[in-house]
Amino acid sequence: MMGEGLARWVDSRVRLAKFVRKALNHVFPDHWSFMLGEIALYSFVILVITGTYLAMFFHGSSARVIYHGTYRPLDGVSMSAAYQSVLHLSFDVPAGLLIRQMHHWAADIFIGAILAHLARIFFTAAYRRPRELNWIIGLTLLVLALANGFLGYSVCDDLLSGAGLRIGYAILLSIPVIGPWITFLALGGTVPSDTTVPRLYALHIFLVPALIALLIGAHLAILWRQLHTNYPGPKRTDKTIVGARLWPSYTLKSLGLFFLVFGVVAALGGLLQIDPVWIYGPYNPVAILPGAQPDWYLGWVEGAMRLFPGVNLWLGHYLIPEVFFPGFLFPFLVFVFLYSWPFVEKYLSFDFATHHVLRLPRQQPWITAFGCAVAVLMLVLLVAGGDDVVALAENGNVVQIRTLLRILVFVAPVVTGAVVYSICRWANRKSSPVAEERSAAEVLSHEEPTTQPQ
Amino acid sequence: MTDRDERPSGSLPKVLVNAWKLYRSLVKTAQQPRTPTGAVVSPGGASNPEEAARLLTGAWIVIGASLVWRGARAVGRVFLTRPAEPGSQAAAAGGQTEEDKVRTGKWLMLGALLSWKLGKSLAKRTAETFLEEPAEGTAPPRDSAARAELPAPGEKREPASPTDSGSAGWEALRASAAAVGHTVEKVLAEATPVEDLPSTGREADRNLDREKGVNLERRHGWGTVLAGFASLAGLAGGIAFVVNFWTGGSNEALGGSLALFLLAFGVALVLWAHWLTAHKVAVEPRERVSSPLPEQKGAALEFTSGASDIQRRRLLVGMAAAGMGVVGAVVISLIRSLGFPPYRALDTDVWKRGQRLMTVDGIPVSADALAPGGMIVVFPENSVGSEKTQTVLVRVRQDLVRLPAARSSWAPGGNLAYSRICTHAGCSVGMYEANSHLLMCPCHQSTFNVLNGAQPTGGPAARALPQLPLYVDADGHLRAAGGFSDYPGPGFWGMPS
Repeated sequence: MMGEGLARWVDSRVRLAKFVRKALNHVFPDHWSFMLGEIALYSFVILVITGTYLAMFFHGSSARVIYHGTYRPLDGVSMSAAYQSVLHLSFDVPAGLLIRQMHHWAADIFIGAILAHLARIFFTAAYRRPRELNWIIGLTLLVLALANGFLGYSVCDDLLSGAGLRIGYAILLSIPVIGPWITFLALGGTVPSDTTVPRLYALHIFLVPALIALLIGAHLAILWRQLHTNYPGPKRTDKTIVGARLWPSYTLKSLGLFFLVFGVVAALGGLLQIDPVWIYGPYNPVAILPGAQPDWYLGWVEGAMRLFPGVNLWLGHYLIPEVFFPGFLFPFLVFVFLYSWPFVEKYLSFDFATHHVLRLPRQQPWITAFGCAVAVLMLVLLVAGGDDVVALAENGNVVQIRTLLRILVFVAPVVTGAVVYSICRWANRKSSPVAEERSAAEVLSHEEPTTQPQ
Repeated sequence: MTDRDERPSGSLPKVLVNAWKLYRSLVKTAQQPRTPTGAVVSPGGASNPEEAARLLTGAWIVIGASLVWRGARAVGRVFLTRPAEPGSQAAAAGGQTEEDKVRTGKWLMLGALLSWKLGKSLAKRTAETFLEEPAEGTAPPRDSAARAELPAPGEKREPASPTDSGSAGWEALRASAAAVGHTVEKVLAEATPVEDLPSTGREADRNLDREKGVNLERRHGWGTVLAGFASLAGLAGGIAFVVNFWTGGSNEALGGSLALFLLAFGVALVLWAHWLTAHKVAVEPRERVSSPLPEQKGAALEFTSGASDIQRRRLLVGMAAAGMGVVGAVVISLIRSLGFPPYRALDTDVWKRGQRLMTVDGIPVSADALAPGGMIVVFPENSVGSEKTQTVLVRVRQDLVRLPAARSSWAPGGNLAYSRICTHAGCSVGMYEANSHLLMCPCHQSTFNVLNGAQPTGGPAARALPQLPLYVDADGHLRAAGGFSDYPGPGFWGMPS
């Protein structure tokens, strides 16, 4: 057999048999919510595949050209070479539009899956010792994914992304003390300028994806070393792992999931239009595009920018502009909170032990309530990010809707938290006390010592 | 897969002599009485009759195949070598022409190759039959061979394997095997038992199908049918994609067929996993995630004892720190070249006194070009269409204007000009509602009242749009009477106040 010969050829050079034997027997717990991270992983694979294809056609250049291509409505219009190459890719390259739309959809699914994965980890307390490291890496992956999503749609240099870029530039510029320098070093001058698209493009296709790939590798290696968590259940203790083996069960399922994710991305890319840049037109600093929103995953920042009152802070002769607070400080604090959460939670619950069995959301009512409140806050902000569109759709006044949202942003999370807390307590009372006691006893009897010998 | 890199340079006689020596020693071992404890070690490295028998088979294959291959190659070479002088070759080759000779050589080579392949497979089959039933209770301790080779004290040798180069006998066998490919290794690998490897626990996994009494026949039947259909659908989707692609199909057709292809295969694999694979659950102990104390200490000790070999450690550390500093300086220098100082670029006054106001088409704007309620975008005459200088010109009824006293002369005829870059986040303030005299930014809906100097009246903006003072020249055209009243665009640290 060819495969056998190849395996022997490789093994006689790098000695892999022992590792392979162990790897094929690796145990993975089985639960639908454990597939969210896998969906993110496979979306990234799809992004790399489709992105490489796109890079064969895209010109990362701000040079001005006059368009004379297939798309007649823009004939004779002045635009950047980057935008022209996107038009060429969309209208002239066979399956080019499909790959481009698949790339954009895969990016949305990538970030959506990361967020869902993050929520799963948060609501089941999977970030507890020893998994703090993977929590940090995962959050960094989220930051990089958000950044690369923004960079990705910005390089198209269309009117919509151009407006987004102007806003991003204003946010970067607003950082106290270092803002102007950071902005000019990162973007090579004001925005827009000749350096804007090449800078964004280099970051988008090289630096950020390389970091993402590296961190995904570390994320998986740590997961492999620590073994996956288990939901509470029979025989599931902090000293055992229950699940299916990598070969064949997990391999088949995971491979199937890869094809399913790829298939869904293909269906979306073929059937649902996304980011039709030719409708927006090329970026032109003088033109305006009412009803403009960023991609959904940045909607919360946009919403915060719209709801935050116009407050300038003058420190003597130095200005902290109004966009700094909602545009930079707020997201920064959100991530500071997320990064520190496992360490904060240790002290709040006074639990420093190693855990491999997850907590159910109802078993941690305060944390679940708090998490839901934050999620609702984000949702309100996302709606606020499109308040002008809401106003148009509802025939309402954008000022009234904004006032309502300014109230909701405080009220809705509190109400949600209270409701979720009550639901958790109710669910705890409902669940059989016998089963509860048994699982508690099981967990206790297998508790690891809280402090490791040093 | 043959191993071209490892082909030894040894000549044919040398290979044969080695093989013969090996063969003799192996026969000797194979004739020993089979006892589990009294392991005898031959020069060939075999520790018991079974191993010797395996080696023997390998040796036979090597010797046979090597003979055939090397012999055939030698003959072929004679025929394929071109003689130095074309004139004398016809007689030397017995009347054969050059072409005849080459053809004969090729056929000989081909024949040799075929007989070698045939011989190899025959030998392999013989070996498998020969080694099928090892005698029970004869397995020796795996490292007895290594022990007999007198390893250095403290050194732990692992059991011999075909790829190890431990003993002379193995080396000879390996060299011979490499001369003809990996035949021996493969045969030996197939004949090697795995009983003495530690268990992975797979056989102890719970079989849920059996526990729940699942009707497997039924499940496998349905699974086969459904997975088969899904696979067929996938193939159809893939073919449809290719057809669509080459016939210039629409984006929907391309995406739909590609999706069908991928989704159907995904479904087939999931069906395979759920209905055509046994449902098993493994329960395994978790290892501690932290290293045991001795390992931790060992690592630390390894580091310190290694470090103690270094002289002038403090100097090294100091040098490393200094080096790091220099690297930092180098990196910062390189980063510095990525941009230029921001403040000069940000501070540029975009309007100069006396510049005419031009439309985007480059036409100068006169004082009565707009009716009250009108709005256009204007630029200084030397930078029409530029982002930074874009200015909005509105005209209102003169009596409505409520500018501060210092700006009383800035709006001749009710013409008011403001920077068109939003002071909030830098979008173009492109919308104007003439009834309420409000300029609105489409990005975050900040509104600015043009009557009182474009003060923000709603939305997130905090600063007024900078105003451009105007005057009317002799021709009736509007001209800038100076720069903007303020810095245009979004704010930043160090912005002139």
